[in-house]
Amino acid sequence: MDTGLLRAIYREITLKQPLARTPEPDLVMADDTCVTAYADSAGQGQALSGTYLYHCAQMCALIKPGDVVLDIGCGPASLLLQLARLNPRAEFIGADLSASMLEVGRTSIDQQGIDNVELREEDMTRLAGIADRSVDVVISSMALHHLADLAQLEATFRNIARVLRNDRAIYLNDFGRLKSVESVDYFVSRASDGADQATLLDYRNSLLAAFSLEEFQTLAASYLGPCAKVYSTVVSPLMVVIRTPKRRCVAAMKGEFRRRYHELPSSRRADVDQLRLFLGMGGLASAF
Amino acid sequence: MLHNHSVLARIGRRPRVHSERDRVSRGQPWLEACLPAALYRRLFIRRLARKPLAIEGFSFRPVQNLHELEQALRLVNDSYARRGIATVCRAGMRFSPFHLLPGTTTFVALKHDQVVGTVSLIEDSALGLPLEEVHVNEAVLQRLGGLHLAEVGTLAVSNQYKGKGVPLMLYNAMFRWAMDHRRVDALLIAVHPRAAGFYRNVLFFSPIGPVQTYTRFNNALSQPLALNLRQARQVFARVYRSPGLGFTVEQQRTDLFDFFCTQPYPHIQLPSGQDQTIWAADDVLTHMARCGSSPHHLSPRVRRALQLD
Repeated sequence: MDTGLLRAIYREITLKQPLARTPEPDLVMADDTCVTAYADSAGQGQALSGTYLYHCAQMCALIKPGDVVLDIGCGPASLLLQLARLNPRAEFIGADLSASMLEVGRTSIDQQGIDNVELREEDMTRLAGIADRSVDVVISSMALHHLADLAQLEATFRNIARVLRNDRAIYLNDFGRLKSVESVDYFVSRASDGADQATLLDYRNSLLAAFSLEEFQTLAASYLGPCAKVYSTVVSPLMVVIRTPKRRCVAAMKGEFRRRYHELPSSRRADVDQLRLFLGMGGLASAF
Repeated sequence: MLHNHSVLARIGRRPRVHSERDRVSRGQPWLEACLPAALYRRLFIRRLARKPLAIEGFSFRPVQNLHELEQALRLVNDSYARRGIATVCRAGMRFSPFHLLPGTTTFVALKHDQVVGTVSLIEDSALGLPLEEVHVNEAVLQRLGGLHLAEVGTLAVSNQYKGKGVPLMLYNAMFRWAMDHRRVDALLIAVHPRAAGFYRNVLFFSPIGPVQTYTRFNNALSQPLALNLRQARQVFARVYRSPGLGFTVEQQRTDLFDFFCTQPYPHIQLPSGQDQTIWAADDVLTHMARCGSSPHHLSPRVRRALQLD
């Protein structure tokens, strides 16, 4: 085990207060280089492919045929398209505020010939185009830290509760705020293998802009009901997941997820292993 | 209970009520489950040889108009209601978008212009396959293999014509259509585990997932099976081309390979080419109205698939 990890663990355990939050420099990812870098990072073997595989498997256990699934902050819809292919009977709505991200997403949808995904330009704090109680599952992956402040996060959670039907299912995952800048730099350096400069900078900004675990816990308890539990990676809340209980058995899909896992390069497989280990120790069992 | 038993009994009519439970028992018949596949096939063919198919005067073909399709769907609902997995409804049939998709072919057995049996071949489409309602993982995994999938569904035979080999002839027409005309790679089917013996041992389907309960069909048990049609012809030829496995159809000696793959039957009338039945929007709307449904009840995706928008 490298000493950097031990030092990060020591800092995370001993420091009392999380770092002060620094909101993302551009709250909407509209810059073309930024959009392209982010869209590319989800490709096969790229920086986010392992993380997406882990969360995709978890989300599949919540989606039943015929469900309407809303992805808030879908970005270029990379995760959404993976999910849509694995759940052809469900209907997916991707909401994002960045028109250029959605344009990239629409191009991929056309290229892949997927017809159960609809992308909409929506502000996640308002979700004005989504009717009350019209959605079965709300998912979100690494999007909430783009919000400007805690009031916006609260508005987002309130709207999630508004659009969900009674038999609600939620899977939100995002970074949690760490306790020191050194830990942030350490985790960014770990991800540097194969990632370009723009992605790393975006990753660092995201970690600095993340909300704290306590903030997620308070808001989830206030708005998302008793079934939504907040899980985080053990020791330091690098990754936070808010999830309701499973609604579907995905045991038969394990083979397919494992096959995809083995096709990843070793550094991305390590991402999945770490998520499985640290979120597993935090109480969230892996889906494969 | 839908009707008053005693009043109907007094006027001498059997009450038309649906059973409260699936009449097909949940337990597996132990003797059948213990039979080796080869012995099961031999016994099945011996039964065929002893009691030949009585298909004189029948014709088997895809439906040609809405009237025939609705007769078929009424037969299906009636048969499901008798079995206890659907309720009797005023329209006598239930609306299912799958039967109106361009990729679906509904076969009917006709006798004196009346539909007496039906089976459907539902090809994979934007709406997926009907069995994905309960066997979602299995269908997705099959699809990821890049195969052209189709589901065999809604088999029903009129009570009056049971035991005459109508289902076997319907399957015959459907297999030929799927293999030679539509070039389907794999057939999927969801059957009650008690019926799985026939599909597994005689037609060489293999199980692709665990038994689940169909909530929409009164918790009927359902086992997903698949048959690779690319290899089916070779497997049939290898197993059934043996002198001990022959039987007679219409005074002609045959075996199950010839029966399903080579021998032409005048009763089976398939269109030439691979043209599918495409329902006009008027037909779809008329059918929906007769089923007591309307396009407003459908999700935008289903409306798009049926070209109603």
